Amino acid sequence: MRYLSRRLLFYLVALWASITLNFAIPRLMPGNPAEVFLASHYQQFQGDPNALRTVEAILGVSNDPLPLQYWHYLVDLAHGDLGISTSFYPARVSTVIAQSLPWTIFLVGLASIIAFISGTGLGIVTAWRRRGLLDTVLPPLTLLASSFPYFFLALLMLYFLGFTLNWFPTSHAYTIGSVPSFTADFIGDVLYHAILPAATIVIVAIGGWLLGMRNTMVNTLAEDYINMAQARGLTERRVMLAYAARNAILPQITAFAMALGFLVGGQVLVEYVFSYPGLGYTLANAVGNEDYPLVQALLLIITVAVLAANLVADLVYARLDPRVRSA
Amino acid sequence: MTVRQSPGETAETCPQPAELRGRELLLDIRHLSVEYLTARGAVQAVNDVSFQLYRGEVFGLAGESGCGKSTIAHAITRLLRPPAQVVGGQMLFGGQDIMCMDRETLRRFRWSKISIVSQSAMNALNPVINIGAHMADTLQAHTTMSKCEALERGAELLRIVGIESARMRSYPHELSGGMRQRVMIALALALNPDLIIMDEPTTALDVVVQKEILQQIEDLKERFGFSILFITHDLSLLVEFSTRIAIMYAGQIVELAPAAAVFRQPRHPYTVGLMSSFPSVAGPRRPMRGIPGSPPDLAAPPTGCRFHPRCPHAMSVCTKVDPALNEGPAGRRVRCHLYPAQ
Amino acid sequence: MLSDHVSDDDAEVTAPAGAAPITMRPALPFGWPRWLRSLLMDRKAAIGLAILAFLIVVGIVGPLIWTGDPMASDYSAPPQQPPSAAHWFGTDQQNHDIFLQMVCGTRSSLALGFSIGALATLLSILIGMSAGYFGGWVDEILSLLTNIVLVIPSLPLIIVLASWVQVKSDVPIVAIIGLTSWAWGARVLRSQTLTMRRKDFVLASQVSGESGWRIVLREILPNMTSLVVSGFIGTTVYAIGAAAGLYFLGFGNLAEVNWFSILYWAQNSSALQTGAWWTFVIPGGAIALVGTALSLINFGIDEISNPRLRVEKVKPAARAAMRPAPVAAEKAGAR
Repeated sequence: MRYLSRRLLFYLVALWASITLNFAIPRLMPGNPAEVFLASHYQQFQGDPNALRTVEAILGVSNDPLPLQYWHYLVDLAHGDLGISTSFYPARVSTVIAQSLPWTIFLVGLASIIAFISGTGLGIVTAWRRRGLLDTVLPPLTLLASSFPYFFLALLMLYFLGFTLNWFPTSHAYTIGSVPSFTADFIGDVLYHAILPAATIVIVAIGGWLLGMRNTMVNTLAEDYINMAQARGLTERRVMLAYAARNAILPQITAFAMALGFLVGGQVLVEYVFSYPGLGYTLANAVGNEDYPLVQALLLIITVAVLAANLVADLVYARLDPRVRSA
Repeated sequence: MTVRQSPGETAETCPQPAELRGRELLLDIRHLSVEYLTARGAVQAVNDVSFQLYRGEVFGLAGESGCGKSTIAHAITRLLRPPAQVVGGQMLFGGQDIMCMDRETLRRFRWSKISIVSQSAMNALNPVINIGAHMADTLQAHTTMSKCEALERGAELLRIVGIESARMRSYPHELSGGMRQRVMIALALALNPDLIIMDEPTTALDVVVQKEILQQIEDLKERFGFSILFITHDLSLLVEFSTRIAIMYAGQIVELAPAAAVFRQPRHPYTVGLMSSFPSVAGPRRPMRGIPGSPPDLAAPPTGCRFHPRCPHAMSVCTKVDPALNEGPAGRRVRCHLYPAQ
Repeated sequence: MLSDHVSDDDAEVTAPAGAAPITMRPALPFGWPRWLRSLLMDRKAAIGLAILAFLIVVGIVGPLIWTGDPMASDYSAPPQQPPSAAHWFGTDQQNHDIFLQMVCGTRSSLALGFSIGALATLLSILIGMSAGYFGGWVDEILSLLTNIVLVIPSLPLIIVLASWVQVKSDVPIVAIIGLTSWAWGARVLRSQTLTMRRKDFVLASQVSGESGWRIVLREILPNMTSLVVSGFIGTTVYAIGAAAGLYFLGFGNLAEVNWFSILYWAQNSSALQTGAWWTFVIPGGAIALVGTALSLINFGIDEISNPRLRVEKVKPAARAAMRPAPVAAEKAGAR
């Protein structure tokens, strides 16, 4: 259990670091964000002598000493108060985020699970049958696929499969105008809209899992206990799964945890290209609109989500590796 | 291919050693040759090795590191992996050709007829499943036992080797080196095989544990009646423990004789050198005499007899002709021009 | 490490008489460094190197051959013309010739990617090796830092940082991406340094009084070249993707012409809707091509450093000759 408590401590420290980083970034940057905001939105505030103070209040800019600002920030955070969005004024940031969060979780969850399971499964089989057809074809193919920047593949798929061939919808999570509900129709619509963006992520991500698992399997298969298992006359299936794959999956889980951050990053651009209303799309737009409270909050939420996912991965790892449990 | 066959020689025409007369022939290795393909060419790890192993005997196979003993063990159990390949000869067990078995026959043959205890039990056990699972896997792969029955039998086997059955739930990393080796032995016994190959079973252990394990093996042999192919570099272990000993050098068997004979009257110059490298506890002090030089590069072995560069009795014929493993009196075999065929 | 798996004698090697000959590829021109030879013998790496070399040549020599001005507008036709004889890669929304833009942009695109990779690799060497070698508090703090940077999702962070900074040159981009992508390499180098530190030759240097950093640089680092190189290549692939992403969202240095900016302008002028696929497929394809080439090289380095990953291809004739001889049949015949 020492392993888990160490990891938990780490995540708490990382959480604190991200919160503080989030606090620090806007205050380290040159210029007064309130003035920048006013400059681009002066029409709204024309003639208002208190414009600067109002904007400063909205944006949370204050002239208090830094430690005091930090304290207020932490207190607000504890209450779930992330400020007011300037591009969705007067909506609260937390409301905006709450609307986009489920879509991102859905898309990332769906795509990464599909990519991980199929990549790992194919990796196991590919490594088991070295020199087979799979081993010759799949690694180079998936290597090619994973060299594509996420958004480029997204553009290609959107253009050719969406605009040109009209096989799939070209934007949003569901047909505009339909009312979200738990009917089969709506769910079908959601899935239909999710196919292209999810496919993009899966195609680019699968290569990494396949190659990683294959390489780990190849290394594991060279271990003595595999040889001994075969010497003991165990069936091929048992050796491949319980002896080889069961050991090879451990580094994969670690790799998965670490790739989550990268996956989430790619997600931002994919959502942007497909206008999929998740956290990434909201972030891209918020940045373009200079909606700083929303931008900062989004960064924090995304980071927290990745930290949480990493923690889950660590728990799974501890469950699967007995050497860690007794450490 | 450097496969050499003495014309007309078969196991039946090779006389049985006197003390083993009447016993059943288990393992018949005939002119086995194994090569490793490397970037520099083929390395002859095992060259024209022949011997017979009978029921109830302990056959010791001794030699320096790299002489090919473990390769033979892996060849017999068909565990050789590329770049190693069997390039010549036959291995017969109970009349069946081991190399010709198809996958399923091999799977069922393995462990039920021949099992192997290898050097590093550390790496021989799957780190993520517990000991009970190892035992159950082995038993269930060959019998129709249920999981429960297999676990029970597994616990019994552990008790036989002196490990408490509570350890069934332990993981390999939770056991000491000696205990892991005992687990390996328990696994090897699981299906009551006719032959157990022990490849340096005690090398990785300290001396005290070594003795315990060897004692244990001896007791088990008495109890269950299996034969042992005991592979080691430690000749002193073999002299006590084996019925017959084969000395290997550079991939070939250079001497094969009953253990007592090897100890008291070594014939081959290499064996003589080995025996005189042991300091004796009792008796007058003697200066240590090792064997000068180092083992040959098996990718390009010396012409003629492979030992001639280091042999104090080398003659001109030794540099040209590789001697055959000749039969001598009392069933002893020596590969040396000093003891030509009679 | 690379040299371990290539023989000194690359000529034909024959096994002892009777066995099938094992042939090796012919030797390369005398004087080529050994690592290059082993890399070129791996087919994937050779293809990757070829593509990369081609692009580098285009980058250096291209603008000298095609001397047009990439920012010149050709108003003889409406904007966004598909590829034609006059404009090999077509034109964009501002009537610029895309071929010229691609050729002239090659150098700065590659330079951007490689400089980010270099910065990140330098940081990863500094941080990773210090943590691994010096241990103790240094290791604790640096490892914590590394793990935190590793776990924070980089692209959102990069986007946010880029949005705050006014991007007027390449420097902010290199800095932002470079300062956030060293963590993975640092971790890998740290664990390798830890292993190396316990080796005898390091202990020997310590005993002879060499100072910490000298040991790290002179003894340990040279033994980790393949790790550092493959880390550099991997980071560059990532850097190119991240830079492309930044530009795509509008945070690039738009005063300059490179592949990323072409992509941005394509997106900005609704190329998807107007059907002007050449404005984004071509630059995006080039970016993907560089990524593929670098990944192939890395794949090759992996296979060389870890021989188990290689798929041994023994020629069928040689393999057939190595099957056990039919001894039983012969013996039966002899009797």
